[in-house]
Amino acid sequence: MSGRRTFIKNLFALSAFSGTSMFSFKRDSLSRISSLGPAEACVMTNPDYAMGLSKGRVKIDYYGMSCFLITSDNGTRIITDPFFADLEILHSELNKEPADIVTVSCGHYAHCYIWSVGGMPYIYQVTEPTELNGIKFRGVATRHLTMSELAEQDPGDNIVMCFEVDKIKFCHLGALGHKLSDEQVKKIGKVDILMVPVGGVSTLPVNDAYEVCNQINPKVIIPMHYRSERCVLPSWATLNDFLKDKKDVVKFEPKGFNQITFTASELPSVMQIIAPDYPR
Amino acid sequence: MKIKWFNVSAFMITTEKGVKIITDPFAYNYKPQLLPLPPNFEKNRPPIGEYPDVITLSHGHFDHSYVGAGNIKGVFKLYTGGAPKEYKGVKFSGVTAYHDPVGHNHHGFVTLNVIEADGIRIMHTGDYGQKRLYDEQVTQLGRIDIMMTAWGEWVPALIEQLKPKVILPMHHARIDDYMRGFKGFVDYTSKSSELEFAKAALPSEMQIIMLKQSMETNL
Repeated sequence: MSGRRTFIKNLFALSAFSGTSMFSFKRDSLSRISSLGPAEACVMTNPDYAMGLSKGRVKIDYYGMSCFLITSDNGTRIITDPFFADLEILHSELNKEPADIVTVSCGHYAHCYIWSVGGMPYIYQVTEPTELNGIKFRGVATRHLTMSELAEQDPGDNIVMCFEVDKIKFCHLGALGHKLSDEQVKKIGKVDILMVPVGGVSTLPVNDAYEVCNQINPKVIIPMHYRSERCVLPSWATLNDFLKDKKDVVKFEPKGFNQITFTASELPSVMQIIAPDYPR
Repeated sequence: MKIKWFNVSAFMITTEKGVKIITDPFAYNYKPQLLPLPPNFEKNRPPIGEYPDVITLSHGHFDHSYVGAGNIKGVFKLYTGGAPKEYKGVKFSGVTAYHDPVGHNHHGFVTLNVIEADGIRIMHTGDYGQKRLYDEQVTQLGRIDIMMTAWGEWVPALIEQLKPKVILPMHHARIDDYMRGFKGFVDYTSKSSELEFAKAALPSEMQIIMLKQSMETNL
């Protein structure tokens, strides 16, 4: 067991080192970066930002699983659902990525590993509307309906996170396990960018995921929490299972490109699926 | 200020102004997945359930960093080390150390969190397990008034190097002959889980105060 684990970890470490993603760092430089404030680190880690190319735009970086980093125009950094890497989740964990706010949708290891976040962030994991760093957060209570052994440890609550960054309304479904009720849809309200779990098994089935998208009717859908070469849970659905038979799909190539930038005026008028890649 | 021990490595520090800081909250209903259940395992342990202003974490293990799903209430700040920060008049700084004796770096790093409130400097060692502190670490830690530490072979070196005034043993610490051998040993295990400290009233000779656990746990 331990030999296999070491092998997988080594394999993983090798591929992480040879990866070309500009958002992954070597371990040596981490202490330096984590000692910087969020704004300086943002400039350091994002060449576009340093050159002023992404000025005025909201940046969305995908890190794998349900973890996104959303950077507003003024450099406020929001991280959603940081995860814990183990034998099955081989994505590279956040490595003390500085943040101002971290949202946690549920208390499972793949959603609440806040040790991996740096800086001194607020942790938002409640349903009460709260304004943090000038951004209004609100949570909508839903259920996780998860695997039985996990349900024994945890009441199975999940919180759908809604917040607005630079006039773009975000909604992160966390580990939602069911279709939404009319009341929940009303509470979520208008959404521009929706992050939806599509892997099934521990979240809602892949077909229901698309129905939830239609219920909320956002302008952009970003699928997350699916099986891939870095998330090797055999019974989960893959990204292609979700994208099958869908129109208006933008799938990111080349591999390893994990950033999308937006302005409020650029959002598509028809519902579009955008699937960024994750760091490799 | 008041210091209350929940269990394992979780303490709550309440400053004179009412700022609440919780250190290393543990997984309150942790159930081992592969190992057999412990003999006194109970399915529905209550959570910590407090509304803190700040949570400090020493490392990412689940008996030290469980904040989700009802264990901790409200919106709070997180401090896990890195650059020193100040929030609501309380200063936080962290020094990186090893989880295990040097040369057996199995579990990686821990942060030795130093919390300065009401003029008292409190250090929480988490799962620190080095044989000795490096000189650099001693310099960075500075003066330590109250030290919360697990009870093990690293304690004599910590006492010698940091000279704390009060030691609060934690993380499954048991009263042993070494602890009883200290002149300033105080047994509060049947009295109280909460103590009040003031800067002017800190003891001149080192005290080791074994508090009562205010929560049960499966860990």
